[in-house]
Amino acid sequence: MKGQDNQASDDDALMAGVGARDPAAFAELVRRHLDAVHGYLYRLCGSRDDADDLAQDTFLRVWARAETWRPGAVRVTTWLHRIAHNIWVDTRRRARSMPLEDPEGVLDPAPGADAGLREQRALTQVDHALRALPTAQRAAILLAEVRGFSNPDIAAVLGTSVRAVESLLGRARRQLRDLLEET
Amino acid sequence: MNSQTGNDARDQRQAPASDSVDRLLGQWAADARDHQATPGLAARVVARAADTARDPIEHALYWLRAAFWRPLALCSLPVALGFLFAVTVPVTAADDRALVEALHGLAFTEWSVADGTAETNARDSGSRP
Repeated sequence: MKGQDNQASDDDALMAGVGARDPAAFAELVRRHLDAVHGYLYRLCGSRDDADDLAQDTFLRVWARAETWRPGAVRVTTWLHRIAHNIWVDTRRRARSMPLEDPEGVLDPAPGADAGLREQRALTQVDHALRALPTAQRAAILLAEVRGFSNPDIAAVLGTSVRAVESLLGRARRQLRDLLEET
Repeated sequence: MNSQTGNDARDQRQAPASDSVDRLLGQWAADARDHQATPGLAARVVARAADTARDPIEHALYWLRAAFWRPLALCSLPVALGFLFAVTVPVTAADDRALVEALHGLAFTEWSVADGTAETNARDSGSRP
């Protein structure tokens, strides 16, 4: 918890630097959060190329509008995910359908493949099951299970109420479990 | 009783499945947490940021909102200037006359009055039977 607080205050200082147009602060912010934001977008849209573009747009928007960020209102990581989520929603609205590709680097194992590939295949099944969920549920479960966000933080990212998040998570977990038990 | 036993048996069958799903989800979440962005993407983002101009409207709004006195000062500045002008610049009857004559002498004023009059006259004469 203390580590999280330290990280948050470090992020606050970084954002102050980004607000003052310090390229070093921006580079550090990107280094610190790019993997998380990219991972979130990748599992939302299912394509590494699209995730690259969306993550790039996210950080460029942060750079262009760093001044609008208010320290203490939300954590930097929550704010970043919110921007990423909004960009993804806007892009989806424009394109209407983003391609849902298999995660790259995941091979479909041949019969008799070793345990590592079978495990990888099982993880791919979770990804497939996740994509069968409605988008809001998918986003909520990613933020909760992967990023470890609290319900208020998820509500801030999705722009909804905490109660709605609780409901989304409950339904998402049930549906995901059902889908995985079927396979 | 039989039904109870049947339910227990079904629960026992489901429990391992549920455990394995939990394990799988845990594994998947750990795998997703280890996700790494495409190599070189961070450098691309930083390089593009260097070429990206900051939104001037956002910048102006930020400047205004950064301190409460800024919007107040901005609004009160024209009022203060008007007050200063009114206090420091003496206005006399001679000034008023000079101003009226200056306005009257403006070519545009004369032309527009003459043109308006001519147009009115033309319309009036044309509409007469």
